[in-house]
Amino acid sequence: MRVKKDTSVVRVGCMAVVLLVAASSAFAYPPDPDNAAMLYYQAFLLDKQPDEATSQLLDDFVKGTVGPSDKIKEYVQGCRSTINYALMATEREHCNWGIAYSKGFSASLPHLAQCRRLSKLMLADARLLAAQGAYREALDRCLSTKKLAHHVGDEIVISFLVVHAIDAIADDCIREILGMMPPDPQVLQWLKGQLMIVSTPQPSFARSLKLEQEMALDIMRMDRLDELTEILTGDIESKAKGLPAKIDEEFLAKNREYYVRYMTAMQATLAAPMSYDKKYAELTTMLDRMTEEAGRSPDAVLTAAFAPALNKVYGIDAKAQARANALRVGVELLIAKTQTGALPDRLPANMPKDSFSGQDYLYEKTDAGFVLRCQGKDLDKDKLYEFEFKLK
Amino acid sequence: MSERKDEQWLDDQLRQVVNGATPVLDAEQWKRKYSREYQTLLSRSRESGQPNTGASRIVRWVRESSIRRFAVAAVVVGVVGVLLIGRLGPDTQRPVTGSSSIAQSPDKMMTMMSLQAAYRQGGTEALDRQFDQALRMLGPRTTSMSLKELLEG
Repeated sequence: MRVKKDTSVVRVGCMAVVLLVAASSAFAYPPDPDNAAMLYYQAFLLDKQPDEATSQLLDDFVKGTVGPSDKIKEYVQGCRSTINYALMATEREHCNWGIAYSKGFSASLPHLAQCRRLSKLMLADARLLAAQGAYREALDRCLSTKKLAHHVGDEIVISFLVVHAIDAIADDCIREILGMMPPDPQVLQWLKGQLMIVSTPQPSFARSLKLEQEMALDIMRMDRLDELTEILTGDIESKAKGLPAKIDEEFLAKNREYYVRYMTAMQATLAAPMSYDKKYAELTTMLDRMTEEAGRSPDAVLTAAFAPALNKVYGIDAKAQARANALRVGVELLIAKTQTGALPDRLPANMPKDSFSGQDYLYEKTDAGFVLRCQGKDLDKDKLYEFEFKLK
Repeated sequence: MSERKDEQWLDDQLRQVVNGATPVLDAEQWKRKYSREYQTLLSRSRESGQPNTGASRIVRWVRESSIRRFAVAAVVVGVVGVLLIGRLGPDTQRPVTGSSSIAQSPDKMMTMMSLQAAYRQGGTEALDRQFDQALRMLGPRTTSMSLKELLEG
């Protein structure tokens, strides 16, 4: 009886010890950061800067002008930790770079350069995976790059532009990988779903203007005259003509008023339900009028210095939308091909539209695959875009 | 700008650069202000000429008309301006076409102001070039460090 009791006590004691160890190990590690920027910064710190030749080779490889080489493979493999931390970061929903916006236009944005570099590294990895036949992983890498793009954020115009720049090369990479892989309905359906997810929410041009407007108004103050002067004398040839002999509070007040009126009118135009060409024309007219007024009235001088060329940025946004929509249409056509065995003769109904014209893309089958052409021209570049999809 | 300048100097500089009005030359004031350079130019022209040579005929021709005198003075001002570049320093000759990435430190190249200027000048390509240049200078660089180096006090 005593032996039985002792055995039970030992058994219970062992179980208690096991439970205690299990419970303590569950709380042994602090959680990984949920702010993606913390992981990106670690990726940046782990990054090995390539020499100039390797950097050029990397750029060419990402653009698709050269094929994979041992040098590229070695370099990308050497950056594996960087890529892994970046991939962890792209899985986070939230990204706060901790920018000191209180510093206004003097705020440093070193993460933009690093994000640009990181995006090229990830897309190089994607192309290497595709070259090995790992198409789904390759596409996944491209989608992660698009997530990185969206993490860059749209708080300010320059970030908004970098978002689109990274998105552009990621979309081009996806199109090329689709041309390399044999048609796989599961992968295509998965890609279709993922493209919807990573594109939501869209980067907002209106949002980026809002913060910049606050920063510009904040710097048009007497107690920030030094900073204002530094900005103006750095860009004065093209912008701030007609400065008065003395910048005083009256000058600043009038310039603030003009700036607010101008930006309000521009933003109202941007928000208005108008076709691309009409909106672009109106934005250009307003910009030209402001530039001309800045040449003869001191009230518009600071607006000329600080207001971005909104017509051009609007054009970049429209181009990004056109490219993204073309990719989604292309994927739909490829899905249709896997279902019927051949490309459809015309576009399916309810496809995303060409953002320049608001119409369907012009669709043409070619020997290599098919082409989607915009019906509306990019008025800023005077160009009609087309997106080629090659088929294996 | 790396130096603090007083407002009056700045106003004058700005006015020179951006004011579209035609400059009016005060030749006598200019001659008083740059007397050394003016004397150098005059002595060179005296050395090269004989009383009845082509040079002295040109000088007499210029002196006959006030318009010609002002035109020659404007040319002299331009030449002396070039000679004075070294004396006044690089700041007054710095191009005002926007922030040049070459002239800036890498940390300045990464400010919002500088990146916006780069984009305005050359679009995404210029932005990328500035990014690449700054990264080459800034890093990061991986540094291997022994445990001993890491821990030593």
